[in-house]
Amino acid sequence: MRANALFSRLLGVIALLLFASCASGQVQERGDLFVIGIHPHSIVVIDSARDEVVAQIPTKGHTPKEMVPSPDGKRVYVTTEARQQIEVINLTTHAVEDVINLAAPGTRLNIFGMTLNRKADRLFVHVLQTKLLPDEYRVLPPQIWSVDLRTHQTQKILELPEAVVSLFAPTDENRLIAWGRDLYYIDLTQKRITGKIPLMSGDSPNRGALDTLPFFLQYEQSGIVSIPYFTSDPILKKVLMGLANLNVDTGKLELLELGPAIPAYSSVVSSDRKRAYLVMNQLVVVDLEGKKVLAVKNLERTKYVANISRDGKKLYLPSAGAFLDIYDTQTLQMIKRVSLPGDPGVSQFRSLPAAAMP
Amino acid sequence: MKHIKPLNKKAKLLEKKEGEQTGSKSAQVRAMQNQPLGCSLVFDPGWETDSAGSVTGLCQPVESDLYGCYDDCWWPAQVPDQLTNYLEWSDKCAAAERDWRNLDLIFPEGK
Repeated sequence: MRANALFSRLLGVIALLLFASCASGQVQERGDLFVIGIHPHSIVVIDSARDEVVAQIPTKGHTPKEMVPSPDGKRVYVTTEARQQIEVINLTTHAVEDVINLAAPGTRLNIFGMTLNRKADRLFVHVLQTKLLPDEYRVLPPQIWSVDLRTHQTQKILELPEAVVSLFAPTDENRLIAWGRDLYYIDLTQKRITGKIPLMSGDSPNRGALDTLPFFLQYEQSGIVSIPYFTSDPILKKVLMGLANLNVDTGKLELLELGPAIPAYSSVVSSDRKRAYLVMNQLVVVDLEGKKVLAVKNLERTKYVANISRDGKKLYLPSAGAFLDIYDTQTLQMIKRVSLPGDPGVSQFRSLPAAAMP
Repeated sequence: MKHIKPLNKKAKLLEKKEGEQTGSKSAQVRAMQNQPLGCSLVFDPGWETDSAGSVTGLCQPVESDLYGCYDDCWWPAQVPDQLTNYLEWSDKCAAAERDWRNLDLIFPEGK
């Protein structure tokens, strides 16, 4: 009888241990964290495990635009104050650690395009400067600078053609990619453009210019920057759409023509690289393997940008308004609407790297 | 305008620049240099009509797009521009659709 009691008590302990083990497993199974900037001066963090805003961090300057997470997910580099400065935000302490102002006295400077090198000790920024002289505003040529994050020292890399708005750091540390009217490949050691893929300048009797808006960048889940393009077919005289998909690691660009145009601001690719989701007034689902549009769903209101959970099950769509809608990628039905403390405006909407998950 | 000849250095530079821009396929609107991909260059409708002359391709509803236009000066004639002049315009109005009454009118200086 005593042996039986001991045995049953032992079973109980084992069951308890098993339960505790499962429970801790559930706790460790966290969702994704997303960051977005909102008006007038904050960033918010959204946790996909709860589908809630879990932090609002005030910024020093107005309206965050570019958002670049560090590889460990502990920090995010944000342009604020009308793209004039960079703030280093610590996501652990919920505080601005550093503010980097790049403008020289007597000069107005705006940042359009920013990326972190793979070592995470240096930012590359594309700057537009205007010299404020007593009797004229003199526009200076667009340039790419390197910014040492420890010392804040800047170094000019090169001058660029106009209209670049985004930068990418591929695996090869000697290269940088700039996206504007065309796609430019930059050799950092030679400090010059060594390659170009014509987009807007690529019109020919057979192909129209490819018009892209590479403002909204979200590629952490797939490693693919996916930008909708629009073009006029010179033979058919019709407006067509497609996707310009850039593999950030390798720098390889793939163009997928999809057919008649559906207006779209931006696109996000699932982590298995099988689907792309385009947004504006419709949600457009694209089969990347079959290179075709699978579904088009009318949205209640305009979305500038989309991001996706790592498992590919949920789409996160901030509105042109103070909330974020979450959609099921299978049914394309809205699962939840999350209120935001302010309008996102034209902020980027980034997913934090997996290392950031608590 | 061919009968007008530049007399000073600045006028000659302007004429040279004009020639470069009109003769080049990649001519740019310098006034919009802080907005690299201006609204006329992208498949980006505004508040009037979409690319088909209709309204179904516009941002919807229009009031929720207020800050989209304000932030980077998509349509600087209709809303204040944040990029160069009116950084504080949205300070009292985090959500345009909800708190729009807190937005001030902007008048050009000196008017």
